[in-house]
Amino acid sequence: MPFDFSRNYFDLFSLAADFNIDRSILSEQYQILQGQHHPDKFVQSDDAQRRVAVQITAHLNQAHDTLKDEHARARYLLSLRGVSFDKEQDTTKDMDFLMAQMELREQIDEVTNDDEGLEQLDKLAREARQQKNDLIQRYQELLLENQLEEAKELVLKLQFFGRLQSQISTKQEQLEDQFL
Amino acid sequence: MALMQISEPGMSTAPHQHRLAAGIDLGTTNSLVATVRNGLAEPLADQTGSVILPSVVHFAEQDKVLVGELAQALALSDPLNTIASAKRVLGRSSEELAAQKNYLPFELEAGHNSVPRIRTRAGGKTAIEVSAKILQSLRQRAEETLGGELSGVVITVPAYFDDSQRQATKDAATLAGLNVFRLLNEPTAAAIAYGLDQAAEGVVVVYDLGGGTFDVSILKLRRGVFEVLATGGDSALGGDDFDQAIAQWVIQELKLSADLDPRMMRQLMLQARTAKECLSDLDEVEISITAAGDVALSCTLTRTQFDQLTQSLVKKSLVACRRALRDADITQDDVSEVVLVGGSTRVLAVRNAIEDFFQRQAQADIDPDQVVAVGAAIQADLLAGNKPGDELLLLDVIPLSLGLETMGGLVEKVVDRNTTIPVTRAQEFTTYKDGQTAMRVHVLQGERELVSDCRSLANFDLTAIPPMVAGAAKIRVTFQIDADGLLSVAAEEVNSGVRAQIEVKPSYGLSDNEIEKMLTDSIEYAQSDIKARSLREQQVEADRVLEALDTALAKDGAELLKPDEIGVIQQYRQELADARAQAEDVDVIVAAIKALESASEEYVARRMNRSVQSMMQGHKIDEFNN
Repeated sequence: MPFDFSRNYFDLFSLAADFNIDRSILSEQYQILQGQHHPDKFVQSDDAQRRVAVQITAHLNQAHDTLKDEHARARYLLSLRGVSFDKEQDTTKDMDFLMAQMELREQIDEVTNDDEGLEQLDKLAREARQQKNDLIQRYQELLLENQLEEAKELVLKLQFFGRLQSQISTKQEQLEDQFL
Repeated sequence: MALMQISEPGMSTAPHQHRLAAGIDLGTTNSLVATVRNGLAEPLADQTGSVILPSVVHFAEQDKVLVGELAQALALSDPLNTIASAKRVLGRSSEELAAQKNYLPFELEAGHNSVPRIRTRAGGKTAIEVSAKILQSLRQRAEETLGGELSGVVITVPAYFDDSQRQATKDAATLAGLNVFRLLNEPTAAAIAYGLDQAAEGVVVVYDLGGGTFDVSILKLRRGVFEVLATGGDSALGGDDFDQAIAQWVIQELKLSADLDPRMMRQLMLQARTAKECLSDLDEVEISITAAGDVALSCTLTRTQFDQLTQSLVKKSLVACRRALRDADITQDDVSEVVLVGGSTRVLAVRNAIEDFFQRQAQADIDPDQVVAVGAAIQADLLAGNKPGDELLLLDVIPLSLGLETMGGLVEKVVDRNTTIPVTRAQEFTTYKDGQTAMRVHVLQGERELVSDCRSLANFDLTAIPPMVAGAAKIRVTFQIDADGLLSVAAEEVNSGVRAQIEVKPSYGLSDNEIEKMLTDSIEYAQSDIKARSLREQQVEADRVLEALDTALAKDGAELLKPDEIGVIQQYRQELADARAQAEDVDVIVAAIKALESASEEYVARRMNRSVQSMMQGHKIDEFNN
């Protein structure tokens, strides 16, 4: 049976198209599908079959990565409902939010090079996590009410937190390397 | 092959053909080849009983090439033509090596665009060619021991190897005439060896400090699924650096001049390595070298001094461990096991530091020098299809982020490090000038923001873009990383559907033409091997035929054959046994096999009839009609 690349990711892993997913089902179904299609199972096959195996498993990985990550999942759910995202132009126009983000970033940059700095980073990470959770909470409500444009606005905001988190990690690594 | 058909009733008439497969650990210092025999994965030994092949190649007069111990023995008398640690140069550019300033036990030729060539009396040799010699030697060992051609191999690479280093490894295998089933990350191979052996579950950290590379991988093991959560390391950190630290110390201590001649340097490095190894058991060691004019010099290195000298190296590896934990989103507490791989983990300071860091005892039950090859052999056996129904799923990751150069010399990440492979990502670009018909795409690998801090993998020229106003063309570039961690790229203009022509210019590595040329050269060399190999193959075939016959005769020879018929068969059997024992002429063995087969044709036919009859007993004819 040929693999259907057009199936939606939730369907692919036997999940309902909802923001709340059972992660154990996701991981179990992912492993079952990988087990069936992984290139390791096609080492003895011809070139074409091996290429197909790479394509299918790359697709499975893409689907799995999308559903695993909250921001990507939220965005994907909206795209299933016909909301489109333009990478270049789409960004939030909420000035207060943008200012708050700028401030958080400055705080990360200004963290001091000592134990206290690490604590400050932990605190900032917790703060960011809390704000992100609030956004996700609100996103789910909007999704239920089918307020898609408003939900999209939240997804655009959510993507800032991914960058924030990686900025915090990078800074943590810098500090820790110095202590070593 | 008639005797093949002497099978027992009820047995499959077409038994699964066992494919010969091997796992190869192509190391900086030592290399090994292992295979699964009778369900057991084990390294294969050479004629002297040694499983380890020093990764050393010697280029002698008249195009003679020596590999392993024989080459190693010439390291001091002919240092410049005896190439060790070639893996450190594999997939790297001349510029990069110049920047590293590490001691390399050979001289590089200038020029040759960016692929460095090692100067030898046989001409400039790339690390790919040197590695191919080592692989060839291992291949020969495996095929002679197993008595047949390898259907394929799994070659291990450091998890932290980037695209060009992986590609170079694969090129070396092609050059050695090997079919590569898969490139497997060394720590993953070690995890397979441990995981399958002990049916482990949970989170396993593999700390792999080899001769020239350091890797750390964090894997989640669950019911035959090996999921790599994160990997990290340093592809230029290894036991060699510990030797180097000792050598530098000796130079200072004995007030030797910094630019020693190659012979002295090689001698010093060998002494340094021995000293390092001794300090795993002893508290201090004496290092003595013979300087110019046969002057004997010596000094004493204590373990405490050694620990201090190498402290920064150990720390470097721990930084990578910490990063890997963070990438895996776990802490030390989540780790259920720490496994040590690589000869350099025998250094006590290393072992202590790891156990301190992970707060648990580290495991080294399987010989750290052999565990990678053993794991690769298990994987090779599975990929060859020798264990149908055996479930093993490896989900590995890309070790370094992949990105594209954007305006201002910055790198935009397209695939993040530790993304599970295979992976495909598409990125859209647009033109910035009216009527623009070409653009350049620069692919980089690394974690840093600036192009100059990352490794350049390739430059692509997208041409034949239909002329449009600025910003109207949409060029989708698709990156694909396969299960070996190797990158390929395709590009297409979305609106017109025109597939932009891509000219791939690998920044490092060899072009296909160069590989082809080397292949032709090596085929000539390989001709001489063919005779020896086919003799060995026919000997093994003879053994198999003799064994099959003996088994059959013991089972039903007396029932199906008259005594004089047995006598005739026995006579031909003896002739084959003699030919096999003399082992001089391939043709004589082949002829003896044929003769024995035709002599036992009638016997084979009787056996077949009987097994068909016994199969049909108790069944109705109808059952066989559909």
